[in-house]
Amino acid sequence: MSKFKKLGVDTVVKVRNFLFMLFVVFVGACFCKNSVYAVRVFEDAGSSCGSSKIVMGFETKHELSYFYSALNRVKTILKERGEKQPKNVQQINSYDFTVSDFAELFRIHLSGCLRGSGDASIMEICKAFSRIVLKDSQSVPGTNFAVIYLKYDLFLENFEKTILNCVRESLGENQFFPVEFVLDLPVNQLSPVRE
Amino acid sequence: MIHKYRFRNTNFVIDGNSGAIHIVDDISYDILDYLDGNFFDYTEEYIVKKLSDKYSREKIKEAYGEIFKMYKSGKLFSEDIHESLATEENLNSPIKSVCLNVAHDCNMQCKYCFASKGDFGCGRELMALETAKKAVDFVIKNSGGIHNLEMDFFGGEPLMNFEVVKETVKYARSLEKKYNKNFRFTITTNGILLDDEKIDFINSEMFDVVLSLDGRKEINDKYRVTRGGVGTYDMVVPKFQKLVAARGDKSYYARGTYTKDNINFSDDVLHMYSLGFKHISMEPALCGDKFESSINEKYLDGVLKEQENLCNKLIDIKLSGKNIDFFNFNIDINEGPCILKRLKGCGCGNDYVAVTPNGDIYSCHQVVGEEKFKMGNINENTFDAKLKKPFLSMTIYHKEKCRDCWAKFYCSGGCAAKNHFNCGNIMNSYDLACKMQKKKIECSVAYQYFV
Repeated sequence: MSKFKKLGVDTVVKVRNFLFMLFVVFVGACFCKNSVYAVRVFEDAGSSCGSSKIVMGFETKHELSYFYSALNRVKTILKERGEKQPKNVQQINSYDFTVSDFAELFRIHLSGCLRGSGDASIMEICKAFSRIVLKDSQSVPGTNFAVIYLKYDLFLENFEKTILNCVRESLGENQFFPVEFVLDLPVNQLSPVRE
Repeated sequence: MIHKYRFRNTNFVIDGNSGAIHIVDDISYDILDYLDGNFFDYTEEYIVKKLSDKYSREKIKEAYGEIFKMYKSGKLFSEDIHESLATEENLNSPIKSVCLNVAHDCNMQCKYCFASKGDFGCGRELMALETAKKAVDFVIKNSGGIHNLEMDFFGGEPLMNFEVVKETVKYARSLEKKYNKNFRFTITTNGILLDDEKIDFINSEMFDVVLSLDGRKEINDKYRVTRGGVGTYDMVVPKFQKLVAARGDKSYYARGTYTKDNINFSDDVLHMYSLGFKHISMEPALCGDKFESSINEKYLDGVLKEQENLCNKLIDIKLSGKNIDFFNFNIDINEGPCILKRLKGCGCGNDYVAVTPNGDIYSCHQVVGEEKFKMGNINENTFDAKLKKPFLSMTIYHKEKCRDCWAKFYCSGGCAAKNHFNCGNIMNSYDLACKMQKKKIECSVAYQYFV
């Protein structure tokens, strides 16, 4: 009887899976060690109510592709929704994006890029946003940056305080790989958007 | 909660908590009479039974299905999820707007004037430049990181203290770069003292200008008179027209007040339009028993009908391809103010204060002279931020009459000063104003839809 048979097939499979998992962790950690997910917030001049341009930087094309797949999926959802107008009840006003659309976008994106960020935390982030305006969103040619336009319902001081902290806490507690959120501008420069 | 109404043979349904606005057919409109946001297995059959005399079973089931779908997607009978945001921490804001009463004096004696003919009952006085400068310093100091600051030159008649207005603007501009601020100035004037110099100054420095005029000559001249009792229409209209002609694309409003004597105020709006004013606003004189000319319950039905009448006229003008902008029907049905703004309302006593000529700081220009609303004094360098507290607790969730009102996210609880003067408390809601406000919202939504 071979040594493998003595150990039992289940044990061999477990050991193999364990080693494979270690390998994945090692490779993943090496790959993502320097992956910085940057969120930069700039004042959107002319806005009177918390509209802000958020530049999301993606260090790898892999991250960017996740973002765009999420974006396209949401766009498809919206398009389908638009094509199915009810006959008796017609809504005459609509946001470009709803909170749940945004939640979906971030869920897909974050879970893709960051692997398993807690959905509850993400929902907290998304709750703070009223809607996302993506019609002007675009990629920046020649870079891995995408510019998205967000509108949210909380003052920017609270945005900085609650949302990004929430993101940081969420990532710090739940993430498998080290990921850092960077806010480029100091708080006092963010404040104008409160008006 | 939902609100439904008909306008121009169209059925509107507003879902207050989500802000979703729907146009529904007659059958859906009728079905909504039997729904209160509680959907049970037997609800559909119940409605079929109720409406079977009027519509076929299939039609009812189809419409009910669509309503149910809207309900499930949070666009009808949606939940109010915003109450947790109504905290002092969220609503407490730096000061960003100041009403600068540079003149507690007026060269007119409008009979409905809330400011006691210009002096607010505090005695006639003009603001000294030093006080105005300290007010500029005050708002910069207390504005935190807010970039855009608003300063409204008000009175009385602010042009009676024009030199101080000019120098204050100059002073504020000199500080903008240093403190990374941008001042947006507004002036409200009766027009008597307007001349070329003042028009040039206003058009170059004022972000917005409010031109007080009540409409038709006979209406205007009944209430808007000089100290000698002479009507002012002929004096001010040419000056206003000159200012507007030179103003280009910059914002302005010809602003009127209607009283019990011109319940047919749509004629006054259209008259101002015929004078060449494209941006117009019109507000009721709601002074309770203070003035005989004030709108009261007796005139309510007439006012509500006239609001609809005006809305219809404005829609016709817009649909004919002409340009008119009626401030009171301006509503952004797609986005609008953020939720915190909707919760806290105008921001009086919080991000907005008024400063009088002697430097007193009040929570709002309408309560100047009311000792309980005095928050400090610019010249004495006092400002009691604790006095903000009642205004931070003045949200729609703290007001009993507002909590379950479909219009709460549109009116934000109404005007605190009106509530104070007419109900004795800023936490009460002035029923008359509420009814007029609701009609205004209905008209605004319909106006936005049709044009």
